Amino acid sequence: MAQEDILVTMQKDLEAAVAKPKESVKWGMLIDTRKCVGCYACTIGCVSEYKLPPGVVYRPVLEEEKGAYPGVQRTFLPRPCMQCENPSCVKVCPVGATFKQADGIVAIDYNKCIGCRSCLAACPYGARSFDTGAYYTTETPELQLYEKATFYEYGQKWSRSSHSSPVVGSARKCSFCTSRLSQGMLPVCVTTCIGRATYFGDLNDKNALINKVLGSAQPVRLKESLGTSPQVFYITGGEK
Amino acid sequence: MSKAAQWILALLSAMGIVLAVGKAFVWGDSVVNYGSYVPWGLWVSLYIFLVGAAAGATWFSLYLGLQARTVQWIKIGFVSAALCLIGALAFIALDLGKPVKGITIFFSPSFSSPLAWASWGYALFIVAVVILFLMKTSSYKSPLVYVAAALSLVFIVAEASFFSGMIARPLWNSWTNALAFLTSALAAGGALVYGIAHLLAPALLEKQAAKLRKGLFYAVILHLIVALGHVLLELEGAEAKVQLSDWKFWLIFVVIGSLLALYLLRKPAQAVWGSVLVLVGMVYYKYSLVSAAFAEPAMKGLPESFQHTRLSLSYVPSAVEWLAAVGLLSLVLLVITLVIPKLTVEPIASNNDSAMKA
Repeated sequence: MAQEDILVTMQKDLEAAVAKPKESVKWGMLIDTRKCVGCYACTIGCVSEYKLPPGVVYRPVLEEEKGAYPGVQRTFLPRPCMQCENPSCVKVCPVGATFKQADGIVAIDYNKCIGCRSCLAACPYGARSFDTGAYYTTETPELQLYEKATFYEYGQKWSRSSHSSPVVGSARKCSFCTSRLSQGMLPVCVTTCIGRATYFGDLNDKNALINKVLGSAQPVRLKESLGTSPQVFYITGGEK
Repeated sequence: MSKAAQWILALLSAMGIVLAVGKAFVWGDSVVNYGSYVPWGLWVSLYIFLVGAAAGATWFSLYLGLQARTVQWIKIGFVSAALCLIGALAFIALDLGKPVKGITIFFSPSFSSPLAWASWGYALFIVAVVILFLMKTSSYKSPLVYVAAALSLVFIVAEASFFSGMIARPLWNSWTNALAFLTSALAAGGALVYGIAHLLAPALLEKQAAKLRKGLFYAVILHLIVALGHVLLELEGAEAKVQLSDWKFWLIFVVIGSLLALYLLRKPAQAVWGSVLVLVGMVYYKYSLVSAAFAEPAMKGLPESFQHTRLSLSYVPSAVEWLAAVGLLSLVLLVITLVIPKLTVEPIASNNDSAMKA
């Protein structure tokens, strides 16, 4: 019998988690770098979903080349926001514009953010970008509509239609697609991953696929010694 | 200060104001060169320089005021400090992505951030200084003097803990960096008080010049030791190596701003140039501290993973950043030269002191 696509499994897990009270859910992500082929579909899917402007990226994919010919190996490391349990960005924000939601996601209130960029300086993963208000098509005959199109983030509708938009001049980062989650949809980087390298789900649900995979491997977290306790895990080696 | 010099300062100030208004309300962040991986640059460096100078000026002038039993030193130091803080706030407001919204830090602060404590410290210090002089305080023993001095400690300690608490920045994340914030404040503040007194109250300075020069001399030595010690202790990290390999750090901060300044401070006739060099050196020290901290990527390969000028590690201040910096610093100096003589209860140059008479 054909095995169920993990996207279908994660979708079922997601629906179960969304039905629970927000406080009892803890969203987490697991990236199996052995399965990542470096296609950048997640990066581009994310840029497209949030109409990200020049200089802003939520999920870059870092490349590393190891070894010498003929034993060269390239590895890819997608880097979303780590949604740290102990986030250094939250502590430094002088106006409380960045905060941790009950479900563990670190959120930004664009209406509160003053654009001081303390959170950018404080993030050990470089996971935050600064929205300077630029457009890709500024110096072309016409500013393209897609740059000003509506997008949904943190449960609200936003648009970068002018410099008075609260988004412009704010810090920006991956939010595990909060608005999609609230509508029962998986994050865009998960659904666009052609190698099925990204797992997502409720870390509090023992039966969720993400926990089963976490239990079967030896996951690592980035810069664990800093004590930020990221909620994004990576599988880089063999099975347990 | 001569009228011609004041006019030059006024013209530079006008340029700074025009550029600041342009950046804040017309051009936005399109005219600045900082981005996501180098989020802070020249303006933040000048902000921390002015905050430090303000704290140090407060301590130095309080010390001199208590020694000479005169409120005149306190007037010079505290007013200069308050104006430096206003300048620092102008730089940071200009640096914000949403300059007008910056005011919300006073209405809805998050006190988990030392920056909120620092901001309240600046605001209350400025209010205390304004009240002190609206009340025409003539005693150096006024409780408000001590309140303002305590507030200067609050904002500089908050500032130091904000920077030294950043785990993402190995160059800053150390107790030696916090200590360097205090020692740099002492040196910059002493130099500021010396320079301002030389310019606006030479007769008053004459009586305390030796004491002030000696204090400044030791403050510069102390800061040089602490600053170099801090970088050397952090040499395991690439950022400290970047700072140490910067020839401008050695030339402007170590050689000109410290060693040459120390040499000049030993000569009474040239000590004022020594104090100017200390200030110049300190500006570069702060700039190198800020820029070196962002010299290495948070993660290997990050700048190459998604390319854009705002996602790079190279940073050179833009023309607007440079010119606005020169203009706003000129404005701070101009206002100091205009305000201090007007706020004194007695002519500063007269050396009269009500407390001493009493």
